[in-house]
Amino acid sequence: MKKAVLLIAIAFVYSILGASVSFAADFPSRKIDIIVPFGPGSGTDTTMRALAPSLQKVLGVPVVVQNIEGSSGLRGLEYASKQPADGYTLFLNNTTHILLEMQNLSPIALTQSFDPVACVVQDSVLFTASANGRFKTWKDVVAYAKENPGKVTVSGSSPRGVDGVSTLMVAKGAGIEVTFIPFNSGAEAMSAILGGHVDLGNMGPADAMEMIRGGEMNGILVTSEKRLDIFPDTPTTYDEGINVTAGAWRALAVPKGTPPEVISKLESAIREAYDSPEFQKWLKDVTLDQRPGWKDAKGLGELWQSELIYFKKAFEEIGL
Amino acid sequence: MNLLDLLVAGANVVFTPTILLFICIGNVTGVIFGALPGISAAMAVALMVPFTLTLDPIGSIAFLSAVYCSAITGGGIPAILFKIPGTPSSAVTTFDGFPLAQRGQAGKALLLVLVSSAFGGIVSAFAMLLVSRQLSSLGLQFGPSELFAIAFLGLSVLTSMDEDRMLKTVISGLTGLLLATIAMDPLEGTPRLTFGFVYLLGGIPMIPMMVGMFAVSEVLKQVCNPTEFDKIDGGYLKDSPMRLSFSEWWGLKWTMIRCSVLGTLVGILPGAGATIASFLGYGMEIKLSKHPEEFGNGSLTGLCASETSNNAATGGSMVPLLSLGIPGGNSAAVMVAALMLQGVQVGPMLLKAQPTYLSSVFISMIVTNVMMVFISIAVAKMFSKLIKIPYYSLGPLIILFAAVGSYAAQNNTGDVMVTMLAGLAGYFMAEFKYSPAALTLGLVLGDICENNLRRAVMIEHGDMLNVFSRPITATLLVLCVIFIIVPIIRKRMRDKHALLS
Repeated sequence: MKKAVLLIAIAFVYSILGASVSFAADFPSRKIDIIVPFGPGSGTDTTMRALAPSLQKVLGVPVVVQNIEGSSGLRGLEYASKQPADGYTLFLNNTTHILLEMQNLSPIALTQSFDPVACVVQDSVLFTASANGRFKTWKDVVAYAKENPGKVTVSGSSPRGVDGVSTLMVAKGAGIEVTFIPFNSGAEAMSAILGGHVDLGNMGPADAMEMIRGGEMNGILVTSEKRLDIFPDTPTTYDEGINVTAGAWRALAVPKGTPPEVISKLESAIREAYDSPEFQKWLKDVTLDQRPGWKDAKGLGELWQSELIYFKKAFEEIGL
Repeated sequence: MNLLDLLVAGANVVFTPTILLFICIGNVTGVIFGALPGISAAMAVALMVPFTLTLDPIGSIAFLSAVYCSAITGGGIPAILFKIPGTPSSAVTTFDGFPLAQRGQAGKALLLVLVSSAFGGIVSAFAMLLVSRQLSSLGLQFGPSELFAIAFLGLSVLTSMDEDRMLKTVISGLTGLLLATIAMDPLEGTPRLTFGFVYLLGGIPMIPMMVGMFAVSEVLKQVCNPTEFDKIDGGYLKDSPMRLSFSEWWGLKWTMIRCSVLGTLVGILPGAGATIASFLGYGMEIKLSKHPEEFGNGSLTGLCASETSNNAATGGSMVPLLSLGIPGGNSAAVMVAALMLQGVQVGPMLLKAQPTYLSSVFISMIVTNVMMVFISIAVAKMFSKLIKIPYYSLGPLIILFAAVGSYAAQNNTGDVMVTMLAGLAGYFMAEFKYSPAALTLGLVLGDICENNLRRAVMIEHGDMLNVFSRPITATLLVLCVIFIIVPIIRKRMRDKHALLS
């Protein structure tokens, strides 16, 4: 009996010691969860489900995507922040979480409660017009809007997110006034353009690509430094003399306090998965990652801070 | 490719041992997932996505549409037997299905639900196959202003749901509308009426609310009025043959046809789906019925309307998905994601390049809708065994199922609290003759009604006349006015008659 107790005690002590000593060296030794704070089928979800198999191959342990949706992405944020900071819980974050942090809706803030790991997607914004609509080019829009301030309507989702802010920033840069009409989802916003209920759409190039190829819509302006390979004829904001870039990004983070060695291990594993032919092909096929998306932990940390500043300034400028 | 070649190509895809087996499995799991409270049709589809990785894209979509159709049907089973809506779209099924079951006609109700589901599903599948292109451009005609009018038409049923207690029904409906405004305001991007609770940013969750309002409140009612125990106890299915007389079927023919058309159309509309379709179908039938007072008390027409419409929405929601690449609802959105995982570009080019997608989904839906009837009967029999449990055990079990189901929807304990609070609220509402059904109607239609009106006003830069004078909107709103006023006048006249005689 005594022996048994002793054995158990020794085993217990060893397991604790073993855990702390070989923690970083052994990482990862079991399944890793990626918490996606949005529903199945959302853009963030599909990106992670495309990345997970490659990441699993690199790390040699199962990588499981878990959707904890609700409250505009806050539930997943709060859930992930309560997980142990051991690297076994990765949290998918995007622009939404920066905006939520600015609105002070939850005591948990992305940049305060998480450490950055890597950014895998940096998208741009494409303004589209229905093929049957009154605008064929961005110049048409500007000319009309100068005559009729506020009459041009632009559909999108997230009024205080990338869609709404980029629309108003671009309009301001072009010296025109437009009306942004927020819809519940990208699909509804798309229907409104095709049905001619609004003039323009603010959307991701990936969402618009098939519509453009099918001849239902035209891409008329893209918010990026250089033209996109898939839409070589669509002018950029800079071509049109508008000094604005914008776009959603998708990144991974871990709860604050995760050991730096674990973070750097995850960072290089994600880099390897990002570079894998499978993930690169997927990115190309769904035409995501329009501007070089990869950012390491340091780069993502800087992105968070610059986004906080950018949106603060944007909100002040456009009076939101 | 002409239609016949297309169908042959579709049949070639579906009638292979693998796909047929998958559709069969999809049917069984779909019906069971649909019947379990807390798993909505969209979630059932999402859960089956991993299985599609072994299939080619066309096979995957055929399989997933089978899961989708059968999940919508499965939701009707617990709605009838336990007053638990298995999916939000079967909430309306509880209104008439459960009273029928209490009268010992559960078998009849189940058969009617399954047959109307299959009917709605098949009609909408045909609509999808034959007039997909035309339907999708019709759907696009419905902008914010028209969608507002549709939702308002749905709300106009409030005055005729219970003519004797019109005021209380309207109050309940308006309360539902008020509750629907709690959330992150989709037009301003700021929290509205959430009182600082992070939980409420996502709005009042639909599944927990419905499970609470209908199932939990029913158990509370049974506890407080134990006299009704005798009727519940003993199993209804044994003494209740699954049979409807020919005249009963014949009397429902127009309801089935009307609701199939309506459900298909609602399924196509952006942002509307099976749940809204069932409420609108039910509302339409109340308006057209000669006996509106029977609705809510076990009307066969009401039951048939609900299930025909929600299943007809399945074919409808595949229309914009296949012809334009725009998902008409949550389940369709999951299917798009599944196709994207396989590297398929979903868009207007899909059908032009590969029309087999349309025909194989069509064949799969037809096969599913027939197969589903038999599978559902088996599942229903399995579920109905639970009824034989004496109520003092069954009641707590229902509460348990309700709690687990609400939790399972989003793994959120907050949802369980909503279920229990909604149960209490539903009990007191029923006790004081307010209408939980009207409240749910307001909650379901609130978002689409309010926010589309605001969008329409924004698009017209504040000019209300332009918002309401669009042809479709104006027609629908005139109908609304008639629908709202006629029952009021009818009641006045009846009261006068009663007074005179």
